[in-house]
Amino acid sequence: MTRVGIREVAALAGVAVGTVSHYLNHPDKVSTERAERIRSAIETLGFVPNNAGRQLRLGRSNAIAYLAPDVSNPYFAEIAEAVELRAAERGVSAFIANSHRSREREDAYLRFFEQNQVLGLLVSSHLPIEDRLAHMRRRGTPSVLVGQAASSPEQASISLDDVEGGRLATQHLVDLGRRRLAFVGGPLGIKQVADRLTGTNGVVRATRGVALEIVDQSDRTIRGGREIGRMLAERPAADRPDAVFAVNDLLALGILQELVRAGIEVPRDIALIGYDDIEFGEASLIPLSTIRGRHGEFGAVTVDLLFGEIAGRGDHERHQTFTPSLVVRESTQGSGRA
Amino acid sequence: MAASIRDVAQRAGVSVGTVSNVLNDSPRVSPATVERVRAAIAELGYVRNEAARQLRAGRSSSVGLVVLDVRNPFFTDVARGAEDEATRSGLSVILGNSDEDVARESSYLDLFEEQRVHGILISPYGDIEPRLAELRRRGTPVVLVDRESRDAGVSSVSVDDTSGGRLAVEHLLATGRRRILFAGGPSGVRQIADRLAGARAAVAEQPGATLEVVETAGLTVLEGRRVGERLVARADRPDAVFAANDLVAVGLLQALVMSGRLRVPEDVALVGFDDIDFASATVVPLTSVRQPRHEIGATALRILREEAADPQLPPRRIVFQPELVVRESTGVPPA
Repeated sequence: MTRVGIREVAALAGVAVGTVSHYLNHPDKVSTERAERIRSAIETLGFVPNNAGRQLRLGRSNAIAYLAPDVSNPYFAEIAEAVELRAAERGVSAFIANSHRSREREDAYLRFFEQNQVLGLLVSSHLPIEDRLAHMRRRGTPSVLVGQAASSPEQASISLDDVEGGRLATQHLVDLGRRRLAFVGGPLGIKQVADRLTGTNGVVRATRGVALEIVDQSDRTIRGGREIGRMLAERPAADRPDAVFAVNDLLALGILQELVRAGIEVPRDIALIGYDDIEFGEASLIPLSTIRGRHGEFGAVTVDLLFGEIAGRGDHERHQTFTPSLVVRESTQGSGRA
Repeated sequence: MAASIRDVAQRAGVSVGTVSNVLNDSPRVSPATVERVRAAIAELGYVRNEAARQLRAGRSSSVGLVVLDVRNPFFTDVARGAEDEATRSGLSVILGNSDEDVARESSYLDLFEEQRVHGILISPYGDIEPRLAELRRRGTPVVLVDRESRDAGVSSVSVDDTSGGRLAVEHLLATGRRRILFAGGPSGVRQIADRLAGARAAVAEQPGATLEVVETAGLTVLEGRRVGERLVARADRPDAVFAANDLVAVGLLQALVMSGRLRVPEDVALVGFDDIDFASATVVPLTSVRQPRHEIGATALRILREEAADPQLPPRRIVFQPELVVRESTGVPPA
């Protein structure tokens, strides 16, 4: 491929090389008529002005990007912040974008970051995305899938053992003597949710006399949790579960609020455990038991893995899985004060 | 090696100019040719070089938004407002987290300018108004978010924080509280200083009322918890706390209630600021000062778009008035 240069542009536009350069740096300082001729020549020749701006000089921008479903969920915000910190330590900036669980927006941002030639991408998604990332990788933009294990050996990923997380949460409830369990979350098409349920099911099957109710709630927010909390509170006491495992802390906090409002005691009447260990879970008035997936180094490991991919060394472990741990607080094991 | 526009032209058997016309949705190309070019683009995995295209076309369709703390729900809601408004006009929003760090703030500004973003929204940390005015002069529209422009060199969309601080403390005074503690910091941050100024003004108008100030290193749950723990240990306590934001208030609330020695609101009334979702989700729901967060983001984006379309527009200052949301944490008169 021969590269079109600034000389070719100047020749086609019938202006001096200096004028083209001037146009590239200060388009407003070149007469409209000349600017038009230069623009047209650039367009015709497909000229890439590799001396116009640092990004083009270096070929790549000095930034990575993190594309998340929604950073208003503290789980993603905490990842974003940890990523940003580690990136800063490594002397690069990190862009953050929200897909808001829309395929269209997700694609638009992937395109944007690729076109702006970021060094690499970190992506959390609830949608199937590996094909897209594979295409981008072949075109030169490496990526790390964050929060779910990649199925392709080529795709780097950082994930959490969600089956183990679901098992830990459920085993904890069962160990406390709870027998009528409710699993709150959805949709089951999301791998992280399905894996947590798989862990729960394992415990339920292995323990005599345990009943499991699955409450589908795809709106995994505080608002969604409130809906479920109200629904449970409206039932006759005998029909309520004696323990609830919510697939994330936001749901659990919403449920907690409505249960307490209805005079149901947590944990005496209903023990409640969430997932993710967001900052607000610990700070809620009945501090929330939860499953902690990420550890202090999660953001750093994620960024370092991406840099391994960018360098193309190939000597690193492409798939890293964090093992979650149980965090016991008052919402399952407290005195029940509310 | 990435495929170029020439490769696409060759594969499709058309001229480079024709490919360019297809890329720019020119109506001059026949549907059959468009189809052929599209097929070649897909086959070769050609990606239009955005940097180059932007140099030709002017600006990208993305807006850069620099926030102080991506973990603070206030900013994620402002971002959501900007995103929703952006989507309506085919723009997208890219976030940068300055994390209250002058150097990082500065590098995001550099990056966004290099990317030739459509414009920049920023909740500033450092004293950067001169720099923003310079950016604007060079052709990148800038709107300050959550801080009123000082010298009117750039547009701003903010909330009257002084009025918000006054609202919070007047409410505490009206419910019979007299020994008020203000918790927040660092005091150099304009929003915090303004909230404190409003609190001072309200206290000054009430004979017998006092205001104690505890400066924190930041506005986080952890900082709030520290303030709360110290408060529990004291003999001579305030009867009300005005926390500079809800995160600090949530931390305080937890320390007070977990101690088992102080009741909220009977012993200590508590007001936060921002009215984040979690404010109503705490078990003693929190009285707070609500700012129209979504509206702030949406308005800032609208102004940015207008300035991008017409750089001659003079900078504007929009100031929203906050409102008090009363919940249980201030619900009863002092015990």
